Amino acid sequence: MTASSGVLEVARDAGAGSVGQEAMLLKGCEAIAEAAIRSGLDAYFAYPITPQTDIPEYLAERLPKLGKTFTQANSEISAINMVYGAAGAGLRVMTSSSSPGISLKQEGISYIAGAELPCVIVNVMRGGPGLGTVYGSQEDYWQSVKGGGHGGYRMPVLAPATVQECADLTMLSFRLADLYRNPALLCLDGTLGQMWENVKFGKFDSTGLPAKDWATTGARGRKPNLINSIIIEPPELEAHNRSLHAKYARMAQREQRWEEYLGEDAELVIVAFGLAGRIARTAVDALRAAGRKAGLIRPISLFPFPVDGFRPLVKRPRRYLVVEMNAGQMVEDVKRTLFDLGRIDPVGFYGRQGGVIPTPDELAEVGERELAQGGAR
Amino acid sequence: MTDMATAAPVLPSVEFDSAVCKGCGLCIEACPEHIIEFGDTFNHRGVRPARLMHDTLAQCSACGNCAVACPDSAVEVENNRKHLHYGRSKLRIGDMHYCPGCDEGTVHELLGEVIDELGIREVTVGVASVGCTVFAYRYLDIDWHQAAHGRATSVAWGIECQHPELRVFTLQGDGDLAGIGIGETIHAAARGDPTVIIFLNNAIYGMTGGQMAPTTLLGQKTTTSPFGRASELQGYPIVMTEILAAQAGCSFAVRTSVHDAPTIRKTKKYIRQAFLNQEKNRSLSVVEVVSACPSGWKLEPVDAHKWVVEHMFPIYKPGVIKEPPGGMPR
Repeated sequence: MTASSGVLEVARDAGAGSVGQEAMLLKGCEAIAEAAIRSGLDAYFAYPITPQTDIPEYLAERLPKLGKTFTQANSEISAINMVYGAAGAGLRVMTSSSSPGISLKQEGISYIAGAELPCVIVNVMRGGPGLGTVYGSQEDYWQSVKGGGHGGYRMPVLAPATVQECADLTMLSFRLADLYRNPALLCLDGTLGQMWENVKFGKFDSTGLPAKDWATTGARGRKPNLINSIIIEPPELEAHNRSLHAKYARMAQREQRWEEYLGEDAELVIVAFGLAGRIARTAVDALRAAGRKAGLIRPISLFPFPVDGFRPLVKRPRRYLVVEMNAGQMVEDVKRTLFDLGRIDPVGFYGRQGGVIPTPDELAEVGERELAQGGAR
Repeated sequence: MTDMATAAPVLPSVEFDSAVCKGCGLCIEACPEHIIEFGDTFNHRGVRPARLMHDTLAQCSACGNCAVACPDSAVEVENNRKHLHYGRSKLRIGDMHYCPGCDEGTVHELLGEVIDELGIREVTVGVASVGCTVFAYRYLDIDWHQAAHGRATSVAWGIECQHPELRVFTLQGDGDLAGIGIGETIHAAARGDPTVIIFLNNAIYGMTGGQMAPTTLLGQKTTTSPFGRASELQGYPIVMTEILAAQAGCSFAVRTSVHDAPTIRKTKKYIRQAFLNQEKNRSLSVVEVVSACPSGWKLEPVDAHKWVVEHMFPIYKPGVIKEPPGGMPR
């Protein structure tokens, strides 16, 4: 599965007018909701918060007509615990929120990770900390990939950069959740959630997904099932945690996803995810047009971090520039990755915060400055 | 009928499981004939298990009160005259971690009996959240979902939302239901979830070692109200079941207790009615069991059960709070 992604091209084609019969003009949030339905969503639990509210509004209209469950809970905490119950009963289930609401869900996500249940959580990120702003940001990277809740669990974290990817990665999130019996997080900034683009929906790939024979569906003709995250004896919990972390290691090996753009001969490689990655790609084009050798790595899976995407690049020295819509969170993973691959290349950082979006010109200028600092060691 | 006087008396059979007995003495208190005593040797728990006094079987009326009152289902009574059995439900499994004389065990037994008698074991899912009931899954042979503190009703709705055939109940303490989970609980009533809530109100946080609960009585000493709960410092005890009953989505609400054999029998009837109401009205049913926490209250089990009547009942009045439309289920 260690392959770079071509989905950005698909999206550009769709947007450029080579639109098949099934193309729909949708917001990022709506594409997520529609993709969830097409993934076989049984139940969705919501609490309103900007800028993700298009998801519950879309599903409130659609799910009841399909005989599925839409419930607006009394809080994000309640919603994630409904997810916990529904996932335990074997349903394909999702909740969504934006940053402060995702913070409220963390305890529940930890329980779901501990109990090893599949579900999809969508975070349409806004600026923080605290109540922050409703404008899009990437300030929840740490929360998304480093645990978020208590107990040191991991989950697949996918970061779309286009509305097409919002759809594709939603379907993939459901697949990974079922495959690994684990919560999966789709993580996008609020701007992408509100952006309209043409989108085509693929088919949900259910091949090889395991049966949910552990679900609480009533002990008919079998021994009782138990959904549980309490393992009170330390040696037993240690054994459970070792098994969890072996699973996370399998994810890390098999589920890395990234887009590489003009990286091979690049003297400067920009590393950026989500919307920042999309803007950086335009900046790379501008730098190339000016004769500068710039390239891009856009992590699509934030966990696992796409270490393999860097392997072809580390054969020779380059400069790296991490661009994020935060104060610098992913940059530590880029530095760690290069170090692990035996490189001590210079890694610069440029970020905008609090809902401010960098422009392509701005990033091209920063790229020029980085290149002007000289070649890599 | 004339040979009745000459017929040999049909003796009951009474068995005490001395390994299970925790020595709480509730069976001794429950026996109307006063023929149960503590033995003179210790079991592996370090208590002297209860037994029938020597040569008293003929005095036993086989009322079954001792079996009914035992929180650990350690007593089996066969009434061979009326062909009645009192004792452990076949759904009750495992050795319970509860303290001696704790009412949680009694409620487990009643749940096991009701689920078995209604024939719904294969469609029942229990939800136990954090508190003393966190290990409830060890004690009833059904599907279970262990929930986070306070979130049992949300988890229950998740389980039942696409599974109308399932009979989902929650087992929740007062800290869980009336403290951290009060929002979830009231909204389950407002939504009209088809959940049965079994609410064990013992006015204290038992599992964490006896802290003040939302339902702690004024004047009651706990580890976090060491001078007794004072309204000016810690506010007043919260009365929950009336709040739930006031919501249109709650169709059945009752407050009861298990402090002696008659109230245990009555509580079993209420739990049965709650499950019947769940099937009939597909909305929330609540059974609040005003319970004793002998360890937390620092009282002997028998005294703790007297304390329920003397101190809890004035605030938490037993009785039917909300009858379902069409009257009490039968």
